[in-house]
Amino acid sequence: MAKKALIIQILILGLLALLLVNPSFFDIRLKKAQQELDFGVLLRKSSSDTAYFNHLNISKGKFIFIGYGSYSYESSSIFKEISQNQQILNSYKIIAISPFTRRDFDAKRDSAFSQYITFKYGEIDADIIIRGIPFMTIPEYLEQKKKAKAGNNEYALDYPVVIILEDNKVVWAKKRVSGISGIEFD
Amino acid sequence: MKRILRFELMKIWHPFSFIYWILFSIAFIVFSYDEPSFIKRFMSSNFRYNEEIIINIFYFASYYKYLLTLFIIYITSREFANNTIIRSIYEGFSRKELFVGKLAVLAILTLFVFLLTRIILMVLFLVKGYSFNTISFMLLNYHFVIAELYSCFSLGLFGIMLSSLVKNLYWSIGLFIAWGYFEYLLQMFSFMTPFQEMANYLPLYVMTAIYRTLRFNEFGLLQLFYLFTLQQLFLLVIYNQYNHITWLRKH
Repeated sequence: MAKKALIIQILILGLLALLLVNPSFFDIRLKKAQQELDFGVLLRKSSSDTAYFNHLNISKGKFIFIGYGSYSYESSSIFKEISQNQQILNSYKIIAISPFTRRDFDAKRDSAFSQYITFKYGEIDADIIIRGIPFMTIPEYLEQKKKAKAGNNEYALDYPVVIILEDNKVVWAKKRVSGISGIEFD
Repeated sequence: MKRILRFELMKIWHPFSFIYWILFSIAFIVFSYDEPSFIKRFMSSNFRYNEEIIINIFYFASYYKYLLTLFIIYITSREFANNTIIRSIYEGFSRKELFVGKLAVLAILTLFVFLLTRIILMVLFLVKGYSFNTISFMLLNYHFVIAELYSCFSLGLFGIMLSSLVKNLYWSIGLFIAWGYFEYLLQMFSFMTPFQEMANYLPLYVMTAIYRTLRFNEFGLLQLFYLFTLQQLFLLVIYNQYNHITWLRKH
């Protein structure tokens, strides 16, 4: 009886240990599954899925996509500057993209922060907030997590990414944009 | 083993169980097809978009484990309260046999509920038009399967432990809900403090939303051993309680 119990316990521990094995496999599978919802796929001409944009037709008009990190000051400054620039607000529609989904562990802070930027701080009318698209590679993410665990409070999970889309063409795109002066408008 | 299993299953074979699991399936379908509007209003502080639906479904679907635990609490605490468990000892079952039987029933129920929820989710995802890749990732990858089965089983153990300690149906259900609410509060407050990782060590929270832990915070060795020791603790307490079954006096 005791032997059987021991064997079952070891089996359970072994099964649990499987959760530790090859975590990158998990990320790859997740990426694969997310591909149908991937923003990069959507921007390509061949894609016909417009699930994100039920509220908005992105094939015509001028858009600025801003992908921002959870608490990076750079992205908040971009939002601030854009909200102050009436010319941009008039000619472009602003779409904010967050790397996290709302109800995940980091997303709770993320959503609080995004609200802060979008509604309280800058009072910017983001036409859409898209969530759940990572702008980081997996090693980048792990490195950031390591830093945070080591006590680094600058848990800047992502750098802001800005994409300008005009009539279904990517006019300008850049990672690590720190301010509105870095964006090249026509 | 066969004898005790037959005996345990006989106890579950009751109209109440059928009604409970049918209601469970209906509620599960309703909640996982689309969230009711009051929950939407309660939960949403921002816009909601289509790509979140699959995550939302998993979020709500993870709470079925509470219902499994409530069922387990119902069957065990009634046994203790009505002294049927001591009667079965008079009828020739040993205390160890009853302990093993209960665990076996829990394992069977876990498998049953797991299959039921997976099948419902599979059909719902197909109806909603998700790609096969997404469905297979969300339902059939071994990380989720192991985590769901293990967390279901552990929550069930928690339920058995509570009911064997308290020996009263209403008190144990009340305590279980109170514990859940206490954890919810702790978890909510922890987000305002530097101790945000504390939420990863709240037993009910971790076990209900284990897929979240797996997706965004990698499953660490420490957490694994923590969960395992928790399970051992539950098992030990249950074993002890079953080894000291006595006739429960009612005042």
